[in-house]
Amino acid sequence: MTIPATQKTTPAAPKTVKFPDAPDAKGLAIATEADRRDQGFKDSESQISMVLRNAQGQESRRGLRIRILEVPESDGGDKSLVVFDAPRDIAGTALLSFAKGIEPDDQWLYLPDLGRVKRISGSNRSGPFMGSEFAYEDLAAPELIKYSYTYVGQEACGDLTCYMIERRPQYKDSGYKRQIVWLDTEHFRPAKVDFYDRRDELMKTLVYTDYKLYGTFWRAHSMVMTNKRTGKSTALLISTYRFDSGFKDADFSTGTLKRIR
Amino acid sequence: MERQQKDWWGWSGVKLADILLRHKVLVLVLSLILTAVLTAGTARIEVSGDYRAFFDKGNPELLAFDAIEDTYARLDSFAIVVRPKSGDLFTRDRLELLRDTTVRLWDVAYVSRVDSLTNHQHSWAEDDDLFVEDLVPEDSPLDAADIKRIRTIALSEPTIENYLMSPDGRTASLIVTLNPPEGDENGLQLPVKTAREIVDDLRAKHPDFVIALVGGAVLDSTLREVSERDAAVLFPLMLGVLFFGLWAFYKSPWAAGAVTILVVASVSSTLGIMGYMDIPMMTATAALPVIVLTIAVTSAIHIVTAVQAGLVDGLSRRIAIMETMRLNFEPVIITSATTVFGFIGLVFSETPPYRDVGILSALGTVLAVFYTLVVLPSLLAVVPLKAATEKTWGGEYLARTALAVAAKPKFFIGLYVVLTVAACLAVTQLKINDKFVDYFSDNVPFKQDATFVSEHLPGLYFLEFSIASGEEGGINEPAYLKRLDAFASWLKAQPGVTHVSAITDIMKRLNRNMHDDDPDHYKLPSTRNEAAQYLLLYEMSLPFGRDLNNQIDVAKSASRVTVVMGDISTGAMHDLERASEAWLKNNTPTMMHADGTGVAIIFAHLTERTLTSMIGGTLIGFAFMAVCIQIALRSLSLSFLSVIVNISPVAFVFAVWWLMVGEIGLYAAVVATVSLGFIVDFAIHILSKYKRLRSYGADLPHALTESFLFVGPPLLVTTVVLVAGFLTLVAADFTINAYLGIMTGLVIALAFVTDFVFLPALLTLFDRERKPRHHAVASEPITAARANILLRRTPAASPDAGAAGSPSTGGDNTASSGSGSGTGSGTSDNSGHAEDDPSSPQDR
Repeated sequence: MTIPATQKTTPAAPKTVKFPDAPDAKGLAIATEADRRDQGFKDSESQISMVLRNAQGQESRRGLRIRILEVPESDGGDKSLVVFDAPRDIAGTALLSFAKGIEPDDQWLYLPDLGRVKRISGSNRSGPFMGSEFAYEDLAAPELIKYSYTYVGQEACGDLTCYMIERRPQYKDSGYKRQIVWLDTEHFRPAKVDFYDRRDELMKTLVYTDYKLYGTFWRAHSMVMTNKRTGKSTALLISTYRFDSGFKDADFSTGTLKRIR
Repeated sequence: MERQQKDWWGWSGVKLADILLRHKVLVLVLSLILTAVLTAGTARIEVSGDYRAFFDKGNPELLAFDAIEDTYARLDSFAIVVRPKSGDLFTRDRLELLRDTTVRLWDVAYVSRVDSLTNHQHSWAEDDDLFVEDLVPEDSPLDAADIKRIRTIALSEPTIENYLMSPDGRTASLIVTLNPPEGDENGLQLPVKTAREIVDDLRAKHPDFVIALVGGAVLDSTLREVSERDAAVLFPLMLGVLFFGLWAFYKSPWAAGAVTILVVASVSSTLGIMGYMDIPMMTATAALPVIVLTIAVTSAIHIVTAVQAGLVDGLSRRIAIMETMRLNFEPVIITSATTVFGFIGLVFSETPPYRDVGILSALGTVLAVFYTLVVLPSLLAVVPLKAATEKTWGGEYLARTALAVAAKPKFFIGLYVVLTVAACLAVTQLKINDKFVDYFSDNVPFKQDATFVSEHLPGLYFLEFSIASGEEGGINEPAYLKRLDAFASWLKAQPGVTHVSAITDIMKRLNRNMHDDDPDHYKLPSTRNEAAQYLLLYEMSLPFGRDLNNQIDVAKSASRVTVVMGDISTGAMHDLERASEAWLKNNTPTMMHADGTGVAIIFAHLTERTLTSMIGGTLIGFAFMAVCIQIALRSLSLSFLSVIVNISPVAFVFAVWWLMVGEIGLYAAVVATVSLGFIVDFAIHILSKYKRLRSYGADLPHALTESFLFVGPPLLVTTVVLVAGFLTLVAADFTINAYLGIMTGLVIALAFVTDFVFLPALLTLFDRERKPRHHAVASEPITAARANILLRRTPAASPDAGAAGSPSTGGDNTASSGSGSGTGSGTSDNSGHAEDDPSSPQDR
C-alpha cells in the first residue's frame, strides 16, 4: 500500500473533501485525510494519568510521560519515549519505541534499578500495556500502512456526524480481526473505536472526549477503554500537551534512556 | 353426639363422597381443566446446569469465589487433554498437533485465554535482549535440536509441570479460559459445542491419541444434558413399572390406570407450578417428579385397594366408594400433613434448589391429596371396575408375623434397640465425599474423560487463594514474595497436591533472565523496585491472551495462588483448605490471610452445611409430625411410637450405606427428608386402624391382627411398587438420582419391615395398660366379626384369612371368621350398624 503523493504534500486542508464512492477507496481516503491533518506537529510531550478500574470499581493509577518525535512514514515512522513516574517502584523506567510500519516496532526498556537497557522482542504487541485494557498496539503510532480500510457508513456522534471506517490490521500478531473507527466529518478526529477480537466478537470500546485544539492539531484529553466482557476499564487522562519542543533524533536513543528521569 | 364428633373425619369423607358422586362428570371435567391449566406451566420450565444455582446470593464461600473471579479472571474453563497411546509428545508431528490445536482453540466463542505447552511464554536473555516467546512458535524448525530444546525447557519449568504437561512428557493439557457475557445462562453452551467438535475431529484424525475433554464448562453442559435425559427416560420408566405392578396386583388395568392417571396429574400439575414459579429444572430439582409420584401413589393405592375390597365384599360401587372415603379420609389427610411437614427439613436447607424441591413437594402433596380425595372417587365411579378375586395379598401372613412378634416382645425390642444403636453409631462413621465427577455414571463421556485425566494429568479440582499484600504494588515487596514462596512450597508438599501456581515462579525466572540466565540467580529479586521493573518488562512482552491479569490484580496489591488437587475426596480437599488457612495464619501477617475457594471446595462446604441444617430441619419436621399424629391418634404413647419407629429405618439405611459405600454426599440430605414423610404414613395407617379397633374395645392381638389384615395389602403393594419404582432410578446417568433411588427404596423396604415386625413388639410393651374409652362398646366381648364391621372388612371371605389369627388368638377369632363369611355380610352389617354410627352412609 502506498500513500497518494498529492495528499502527502498538500499542507492546508481543503474546505470540502471529495471522496471516491467505492467503500475501500473511500475508507482509505478518509483515513489518509485524517492522517494528513495530523502531520507536521514535529514533536509532542504529554503528561498522562492512567486509571485502571476492575468490575468491582477497585481503582489503580499509573503516571507516565510520553514524548513523540514525528518521523515521516517513508523514513520509518514516529519514535516515542514513555517514561514511567508512578507507582514509585517503577519510577524512572523508560520505554523507547521506533515504529516500523507493519514490522514489529523496535523496543527498549531501561530498568533503573538494574541500570541496564533491555531490548524487548517486539512481536508481542497484542498484550495489555501495564496490566491495563490498552494493548501496546492500541497505543503505538497509528501509521496508515498498518491497516486496510473500508468505509462502512456515516452516523451521528454527539453533536457531530461521523464517518465509520472499518480497519483490518495488516501486521502479524494482532489481537484483533478488525476495528470500527468513528471520525467526525468536520475535523477527522477519532470519536470512538470498537475493537473486535480474532473471533470477530466485540471486545473493547475506546471513547475519545475532551478535545482541545493546539494550533491546527486536535488532541483528546480523555481516552477511556472499556472491556465489554470483563467490565474492566482504563482511562487515559492527559493533563498537558506541549508541542514543538525541539526534540531531536538524539533524544530518542538507548543512550538517553538512562538520563531521562 | 359424642360418636359423631369423634368420627367427624369419617362423616366428612362420606359427605364429600356423596357430593362428588352426585356430580361426578362435572368434577371430572373441572379437574381436567384445572390439570390442563397447571400443566401448561411445564412449557416454561428451563433446564439449567449452572452450579451457582446451588448457592444463596450471600453464601460466604461463593462470595470468596466470586471475589477471585472479579479480581482476576472468570474461572469458567475447559481443557483438552491429549496423550499418545505410545511414546511421549516430543516428536515433530505431535508438537505440531499441539501447536495447531492451541491456535485453533482461539476460534472458541468467548475465549479469553488459551494455555498450552506450545504457547507457554518462555523467556530468556541474550546479551541485553530479553526474549519472551511461545515455547513452540509458529516458525519453530522442530528439527532434532529444536525438539531437544523444547523438551529440556518443558521438563524443567515449574509452571508447566503437572499442569500443562505430565512430568513423564506423555500427557498434555490445553486449557481454555472463557469469559461469556454476564447474565447469559447459555453462555457456556456454545463454547462447549465447539470444543466437542474440535475433540471429535481430533479423535477422528489422530487415532494414536487418547483425547479427553474436561473442565467446569463441560461439567455445566453435562449436568444439563444428563438431567434432561434422566427426566425423559426415568420418569416414564418408573410410571411403567408402577402401572404394570398395580395391574398385577389389582388384576384390573382400569384400577391400575386410575392410580396412574392420578399420579401423572399430580406430577404434571406440580411441574406446571414449578414452571409458573420460574424455577429451573436442574440436577437437584430433577428428583421432584419422583417424589411427587411416590406421594400420590401412597395415597391413591389406599383408596383404590379399599374400593376393590369393598366390591369383593359385595358392596355396590357407590357404597364401596363411600365406605372407602369414610375410613380413609382421616389417614389420607393426616399422612399428607405429615408428609408436608417432612419437607420442612428441605425448606430450611442451605441449598436453594433443595428449598425449591421442599416447597414444590409440599405443594405436590397438597395436589396429590386433592386428586386422591376429589378426583379419584369420581374417576373410580366411571371406569369399569370389577371385584378382584384375591384381596388379602399377604395380609394374613403379616398379621401372623405380628402376632408371633407380639408373643415375644422383649426379644424383638431388644433386637430393635441393638440394631438402632448400632445403626446410629455407623451413621457417625460416614465420610462426606461429594466430588462432582462422581455425580455421573460410567456411561457419561464426561465421567470417562475425567477418570482418564485423573490418572494421567490431574487438573479437575482447584483450590484458589487471593493473597493480599496490604498496599498498592505490594506484591513486589521481597517480604511478601518470600512468604508467598514459602506458602507455595508448603502447599507443594501437601498430600493430594499436584501443582501450585504462584507468581514467585515467574519472579525467579525473570531474576535469572535479568542476570544473563545464570542459574545461581534463580531466586526472588532482592528489592521491590527490581521486582516491579522485571514484571513491567515481562508484562510488556506478553501477547494477547497470555497476560498476567489472571494472577495479579490491577493495583498489583494481591496475587493469586492456584492449587491443583489430584483425585482426593472432598473431605480431604476441605482438610487441605483448612490446613492452608491455618498455615497462613501462623506464618504470615494478617493482611496475607485468605480463605481458600474453588468449585469443589464450595460444594464441600455446602454439603456439610446442608447435611447439618437438614438434621435440624428434620427434627423440626418431626416435631410437627408428632403434633399431627397426636391430633389424629390422640394418644401420646402411640404418637411417640410412630415417630421412633420411623427414625430407625432411615438410620438403618445410612448404616447399610456406610457398610456398602462408606461415603455420603449432598443427595443424602434429600433421602432422609423425602423418605421420612411417607414412611411415617405407614405407621399412621396401621396405628389409626389399630386405635380405632382399640377404642371399640378390641384387645391387642385382635386389634393388631385386624389392622394388619386391613392395611397390610395396600401397604405391601405400595411398598413393592415404590421400591420397584425407585430401583428404576438405578438406570440414571446422574448417579445422585441412582443413589437417591436405591437409598429411598431401601428406606421404604426397611420401614415396612420395621412397621410390621418391630411395631407390634413396641405396641405390646407400650400399649399394655391401655383402657378402652367407650365402655358401652367395650363391655361387649369384641369379636373379629365386630371388628370387621367397624372396619368394613370381612377377612373371612378368604379361608386363609381366618387361619391367620387362629394360632395365637384361639376360639374367638376362629368363630368370628365363620360368622363373618358370606359375600353379603358387609352390606347387611352396614345397615345394622348404621343405627349407632350416624356417619355411616345409608344404602340408597
